[in-house]
Amino acid sequence: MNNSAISERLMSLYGGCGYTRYRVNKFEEYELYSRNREFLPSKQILTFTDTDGRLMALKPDVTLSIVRNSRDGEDARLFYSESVFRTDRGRGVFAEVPQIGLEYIGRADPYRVSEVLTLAGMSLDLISEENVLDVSHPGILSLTAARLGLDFAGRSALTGYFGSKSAGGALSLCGDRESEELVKALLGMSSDPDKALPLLGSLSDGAEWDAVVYELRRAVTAVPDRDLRIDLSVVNDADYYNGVVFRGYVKGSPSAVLSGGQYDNLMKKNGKNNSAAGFAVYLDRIDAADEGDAPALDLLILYDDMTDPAAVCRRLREAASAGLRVSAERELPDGQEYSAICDMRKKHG
Amino acid sequence: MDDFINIALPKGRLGETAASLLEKAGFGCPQALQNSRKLIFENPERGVRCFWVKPSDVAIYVERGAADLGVCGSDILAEQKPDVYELLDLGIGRCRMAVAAKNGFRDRPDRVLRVATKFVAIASDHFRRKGRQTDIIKLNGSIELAPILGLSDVIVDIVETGTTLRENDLSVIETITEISARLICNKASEKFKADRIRTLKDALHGITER
Repeated sequence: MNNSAISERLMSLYGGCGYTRYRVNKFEEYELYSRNREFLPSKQILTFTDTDGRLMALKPDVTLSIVRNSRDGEDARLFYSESVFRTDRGRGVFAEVPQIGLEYIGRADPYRVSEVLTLAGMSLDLISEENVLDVSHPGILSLTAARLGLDFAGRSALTGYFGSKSAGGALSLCGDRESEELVKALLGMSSDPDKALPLLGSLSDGAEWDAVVYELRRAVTAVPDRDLRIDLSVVNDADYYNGVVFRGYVKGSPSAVLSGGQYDNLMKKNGKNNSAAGFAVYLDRIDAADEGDAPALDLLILYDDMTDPAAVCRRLREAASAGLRVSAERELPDGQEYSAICDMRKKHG
Repeated sequence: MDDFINIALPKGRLGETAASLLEKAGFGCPQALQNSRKLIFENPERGVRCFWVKPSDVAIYVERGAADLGVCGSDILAEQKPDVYELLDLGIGRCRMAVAAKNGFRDRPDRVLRVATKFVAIASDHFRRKGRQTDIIKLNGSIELAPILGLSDVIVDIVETGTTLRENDLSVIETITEISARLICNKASEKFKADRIRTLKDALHGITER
């Protein structure tokens, strides 16, 4: 299945569940992104000066536009399929990246958050049968940082170490044995919710921690017929995310193809009173999972220098007009599957 | 490639030590340590495939999923910040990242400090944390020459025994961080090959635990 087929199926899924399509301009005022830079997956922003002197940016993200345009008190279920412009890791150059996503803005009650999580799981199922949805809660990391007595720089370092599952790094931030035991328990934790949730509960030091574990448990148990994993390396920024956060992987793709969570804090930072939850599917990262053979042809036409070009064109046109998938080639392409072949080569008789 | 655990090893002494560790843990590719120009080695019985790559490329192979696991210096991880899991400190390839200068160097805090290094991100992060304004000069080798020829005030580089520094009339003025080799893992592989990767990691942990 190619990217456009995946995109169509995802949009059909979201539309069928009561979400309406949201369309955005390709650019927005730069100030929106500079103010929320840490929310963006890629920090570089492609800018230009408009004719009226305003500094504009080609959209590196769609969620921020939806947040900016949301109204207090509204209850909106939206999805989008847009190009965003950002640099990707490694390449270091700007690229137009296809992205599809879903946002719920309104009163993110437990049902709505579970609905978003359920749709994230269903999105992964549409991309690949073999997939994993990891769930976490930024509160665990924030409260752990507080228990370790870390300042801003320490908290940032702890986030990095949890994100890379670096036990050695995280332990280097611990000042006493109790902190070390806490970090070891968290980083050594099983991803099985039946084991992880009781462990997290046993590590509690008060009501705040209990509330975070309760919220995580509620989210995990509310998604039916799906094995979610609890993975504390999902470390979306707590300045923006306040509830469950999640990340999805499909077999064959080396990095996460889906990322999201509940982001009431982003709404607050932008002067909005609503709560919100959503996710994005990174279609560009699915390419690697879709490196199979070229799609099967209904008809393969073979020609050579002696073949009449008009005859090939005529045959191609007839087949295409009949709705067949057809291609004319000089020789049989490696790995190409086809239902029928029309050999118009003269040299080979 | 899917049935195997693919492991990227850094060419050179560190990689050879890592290959020996894998061997001791029961996940080695015996022929990998034989002197040949071959780059890929398999141990079908244990489902392991090892390949030699340039040390600075290990993290890229793992991040992009061409390798499930890799052995990589923590200096390279700090410099490249790849999106991978760091599963284990292997305790090999120990050295340190340090700031060094000509013997007798006196820092002038009122001036921009000129820093020559291969490790631009590590050097920039270090001096930014200290609030020091720097002019970072990216070099690709023979870093020790820079302060001798007046190209820089200090260098940021890996120091193992300190012999090269001593022989060039340089000395360490500050250690930035200790370095050792780490077992790194592709994030998706950690999900889809979880059991086999955990078994391999535990076996390595058993022989590296001090």
